[in-house]
Amino acid sequence: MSLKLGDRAPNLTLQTISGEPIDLKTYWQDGRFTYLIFLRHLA
Amino acid sequence: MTQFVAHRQQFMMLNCKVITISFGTTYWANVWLQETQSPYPLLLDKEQESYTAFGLSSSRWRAWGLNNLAYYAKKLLAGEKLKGNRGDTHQLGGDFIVDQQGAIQFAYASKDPTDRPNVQEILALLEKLNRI
Repeated sequence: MSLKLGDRAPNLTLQTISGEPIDLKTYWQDGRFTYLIFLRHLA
Repeated sequence: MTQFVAHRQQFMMLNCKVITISFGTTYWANVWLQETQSPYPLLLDKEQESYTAFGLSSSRWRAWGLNNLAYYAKKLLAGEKLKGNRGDTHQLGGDFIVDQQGAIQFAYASKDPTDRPNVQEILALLEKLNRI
């Protein structure tokens, strides 16, 4: 199901490139806007 | 991605942090960072749970549609080497702007691998959101 404007963004725990876990919400709680770019495969 | 790297200062001036997310391996993520010189944090989601949570589809049919085949044909005709398979080629990407309250202010799910929002449109939207 796709997200719509005004929906709450899902918070998930991902990993930094160095392997540290990080909650997505820590980004948007610490700044006015957060732009998330979900990449395709890295080619 | 090149467009977004070139506009780093503008994103900062518009109070916007840019975060990239990939389902690739750590090895390919490091290769990609070197190739693109992306200054933005890159988070890894090998299980693609965040892609699913944000409603981004995985589709063999859409991933290998005419637009994508034309994209690779152009690269080959331009003499570029293809970079090989670096992960799930069926997973599509997407772009989202989230405000400080965690509400989605922009949502764009790619319809095929070549379909991404225009960076100028993103910047214009952020200017508008900053005025609210």
